[in-house]
Amino acid sequence: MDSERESQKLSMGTEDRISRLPDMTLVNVLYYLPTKQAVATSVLSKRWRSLWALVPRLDFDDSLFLHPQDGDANPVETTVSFMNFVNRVLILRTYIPEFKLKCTRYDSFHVNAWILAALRCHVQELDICITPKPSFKLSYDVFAFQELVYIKLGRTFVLDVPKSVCLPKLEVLCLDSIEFRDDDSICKLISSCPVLEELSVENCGFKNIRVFCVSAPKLKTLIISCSISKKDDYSTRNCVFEIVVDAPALETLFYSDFVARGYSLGTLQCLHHVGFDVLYRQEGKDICNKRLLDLLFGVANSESLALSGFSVMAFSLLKKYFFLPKFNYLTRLLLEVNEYCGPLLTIFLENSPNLEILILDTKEVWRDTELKWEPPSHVPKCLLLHLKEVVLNGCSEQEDVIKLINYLQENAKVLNKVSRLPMSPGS
Amino acid sequence: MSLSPSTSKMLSLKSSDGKVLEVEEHVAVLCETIKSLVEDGCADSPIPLANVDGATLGNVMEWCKKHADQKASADDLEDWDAEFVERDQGELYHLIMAANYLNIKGLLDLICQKVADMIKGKHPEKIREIFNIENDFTPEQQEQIRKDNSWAFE
Repeated sequence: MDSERESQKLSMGTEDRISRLPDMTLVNVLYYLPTKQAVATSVLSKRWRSLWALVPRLDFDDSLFLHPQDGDANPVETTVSFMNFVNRVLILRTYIPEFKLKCTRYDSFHVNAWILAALRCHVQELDICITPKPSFKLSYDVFAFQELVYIKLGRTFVLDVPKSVCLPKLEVLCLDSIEFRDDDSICKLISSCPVLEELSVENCGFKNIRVFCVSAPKLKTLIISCSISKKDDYSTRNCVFEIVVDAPALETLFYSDFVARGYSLGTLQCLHHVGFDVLYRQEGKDICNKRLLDLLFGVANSESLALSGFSVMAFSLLKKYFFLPKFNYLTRLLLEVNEYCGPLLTIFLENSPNLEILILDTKEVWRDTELKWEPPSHVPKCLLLHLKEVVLNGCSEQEDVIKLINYLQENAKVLNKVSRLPMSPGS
Repeated sequence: MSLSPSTSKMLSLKSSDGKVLEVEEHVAVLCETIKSLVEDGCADSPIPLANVDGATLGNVMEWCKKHADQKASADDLEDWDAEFVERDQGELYHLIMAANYLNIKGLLDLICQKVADMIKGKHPEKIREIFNIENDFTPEQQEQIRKDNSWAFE
């Protein structure tokens, strides 16, 4: 936004309209500000004096206490003023449905004291993003606040879970860049949330894990996204663990990692959407193949499937040795285009009798490889009855893509839309 | 009650300045206030909306129409919303009052977020200037507030 234009536009007129808004509307405005700034509005005028205290949310962020414009910040002063601020605000409040804390370098004593003080004010949504001192240990008491509906925990500390966990209302659990102590602790945490609907595990440390077990009867969304970067402390490059999912109500599954030691997905009857970004490990492709086959059979009931370029590569190699499953419910398929994509595409056309929408996506990382595709010997069933839309993201100029489209236009009886779009953003 | 687009009938909405707007029912019921009227069977004659002028009502219904469109993706809506709130303070004020009166949580949140963005990162003096807020504290009160709340202004 052009700041000059913005301020000109805003200074038009001399009426103070904003102060005429009802209390609850102004509180709704302050809701979207970090608490520090919401408190600062109390000096604007008498109208604004105590509105901030009605905001049903506290959002503390210590980076707002650095003042880079004033030259080198004094770290001790910054720390003290942040601690003062959090302490003062917490003393003044008795009802805090949403509590967010983002800070670095603080010790267990302070962080836990703040979290517990907030939790006693009926927090339902807890969002903790701390990069604490190395010895940090999250208070066990957090796992016994029964009003919690949403918990997000990060980052870079070891998650210890007490013997007894009681989170009867927890619906969403997001774990970002934290390290698991052992199999039992994380398994127990997940299985102690009877109404859990969404679990997201991103860039977490699995080095102590042998079996990662997700057992949750109401779970609808599961996201497991691991770091594969060599530079990352929590990279799963050298981790070997099995993934066991017992979540019969699962609707959405997104999984990104190297091939795991094994997969057991149970019966997933309600799957709507599945996204895979799975990489081969350097060693033992034969063993990986068998595991990948288990993974693919585990999601054979899904309605929508998206495969990254690496997954396309992995599953494409797999098809040399095994028969791939039938995808009887699949209506939407997205494949990232690379040299491995063609043969896999043919198999999917043959094994997905109800496919309606096919999306071929090109990503920057695969820019230099092209689809290699040969028409199948028989026209697949989905072409005769169902395939109605094809979307090409950034690959419509490739020779074999043109060949594919010509083939589809000739043989797909109900195809009525072919969209050619530019390459989608991201890698 | 079925409110699917295919079966949607038209509703007449009458603004404070007497303008009548014909809107599809499945769009208009994004306003909780109108939805209650429809559900109670009181939506036959033009619905009088005494607190919303015609121009604002048009803007509100434009937002409702976009958000009632089931084909719009989340990304698409986000971009569209960002453009929708690029307005002067007068229009934003009328929209916020209308969203309040018609009880449209999504629109109300959107504009509150926009106003918060206008406040974010600015000193109190600048905020007063932007919104023409008169500082009605006496210098003594002002000093006292600063002193009491020094912890908040470091």
